[in-house]
Amino acid sequence: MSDVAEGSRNDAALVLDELAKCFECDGARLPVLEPTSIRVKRGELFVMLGPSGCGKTTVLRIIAGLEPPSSGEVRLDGRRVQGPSPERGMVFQDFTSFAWLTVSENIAFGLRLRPHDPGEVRQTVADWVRKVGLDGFESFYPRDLSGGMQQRVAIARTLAVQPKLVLMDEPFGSLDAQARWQMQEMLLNLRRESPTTIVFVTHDVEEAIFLGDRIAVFSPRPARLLREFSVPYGVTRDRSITRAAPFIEMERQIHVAMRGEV
Amino acid sequence: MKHGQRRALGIAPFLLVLALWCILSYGGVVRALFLPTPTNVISEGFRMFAEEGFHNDILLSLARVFGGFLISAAFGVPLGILMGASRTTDTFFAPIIGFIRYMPATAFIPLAILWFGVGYVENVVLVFMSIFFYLVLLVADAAANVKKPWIDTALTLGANRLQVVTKVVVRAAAPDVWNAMRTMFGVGWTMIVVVELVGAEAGIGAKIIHAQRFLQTPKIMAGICIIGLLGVASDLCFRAGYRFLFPWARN
Repeated sequence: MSDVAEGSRNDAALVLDELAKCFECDGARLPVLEPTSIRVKRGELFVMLGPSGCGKTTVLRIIAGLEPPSSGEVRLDGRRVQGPSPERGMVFQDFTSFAWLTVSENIAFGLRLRPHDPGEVRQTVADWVRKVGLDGFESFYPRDLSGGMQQRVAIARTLAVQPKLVLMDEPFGSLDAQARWQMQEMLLNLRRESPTTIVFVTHDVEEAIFLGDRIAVFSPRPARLLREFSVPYGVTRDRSITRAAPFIEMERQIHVAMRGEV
Repeated sequence: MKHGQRRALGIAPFLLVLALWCILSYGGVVRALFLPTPTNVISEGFRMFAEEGFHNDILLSLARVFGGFLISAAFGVPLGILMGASRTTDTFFAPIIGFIRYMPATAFIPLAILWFGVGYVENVVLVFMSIFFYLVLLVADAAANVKKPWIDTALTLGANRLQVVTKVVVRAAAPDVWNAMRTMFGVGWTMIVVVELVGAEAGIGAKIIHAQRFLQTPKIMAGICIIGLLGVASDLCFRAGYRFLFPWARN
């Protein structure tokens, strides 16, 4: 991709440029991601949808800088990604709340890694506790929280450091259906307040359409981009859209796209 | 199982051993020279405190164990964390530590006496030898087993390598490190008694070997029982410390 092209489309915050990944094990090369190019616009919630174990998580880890790509590159605001940085936050599927820190201390973790004003940190933490609905649980340790509450902590902790880009790796995958719905609606609310750029990985088609602005459908491993869909809903979404005809039609098309490649 | 039942089940073996001892000693099955009666041992135990100042021997032994234990922990815990957190450090230290660890610390007693003479330095060095190398490896294991997602999370929140070690690895590994210290304190305790048996003027082990020379079997047994009680007491202290230091840890 030339600089001119990039300049003319400067609404792209995140660019995956011919990104590919192979795992080497015992001399054998196991391809997990075929060369893939994707552009994610600023403020967009971009969903990577595909079957479990297809390599989506690996793409997120490469964007986060936790793993190097085999070829191609990732650029955020035109700068090449080399290693992890707080400008690219990540919410993992595993519950990653630090067990030895309370809810408040967990949310403050990233803020306290850099030079900070204690009063400001306290204020920011209090704001986030409220935004993710953890009022009253500030001094609880993770062992006393449900899975859904732990993911609220993880989301607040990630967003509190104001990353340019948030990577979410099936963040609601381990939750029961009711908690998952609550979390999806909370995420939509958070986006209404401040539109963060998000790359969201899931294998759940309904979740993809309900949350996403755009959806990239991937094949089973090695992951290959099969098709992209644009979702016709704005930031304000109600659970009722999932029962309306356009939603169901898009679900059908996505299933066709996924089945087309087995 | 209810709490009361569990307690009863735990106390039962003590009672069984005590019953067997009573039968063998009071019943006259074994001669008193080889197995004195419980009353004899208990009264001897009280006499040792009252007339021989046995508490001074206990304090002396404790001071020796603590000396060796604290030096081991002061160097062993940071080194273990470093080995668990850094591949290079681990590659450098692990083979030599793995080698020395298999040399029984008791085999160093003659060498330690030769180098340092009989005394506090020799005691502490030998306790150190018995604790340090195992402690380092246990701590390194604890540090290496810290959940990877915690480390990844810290990295994406902006932690540098030093912060990953100080704010994640050390904190997450701390309960396991504490338990390793608890185990190794027991090892040091065993070691100091052996060291005192071999050559010391005073201390619990010295008292025991002294009693053996004069065929004072009740005194030997009283000494051994007190070592056991002190071990249980130190273990309880470590457990209480665990609950106090790590209220967040799952049991």
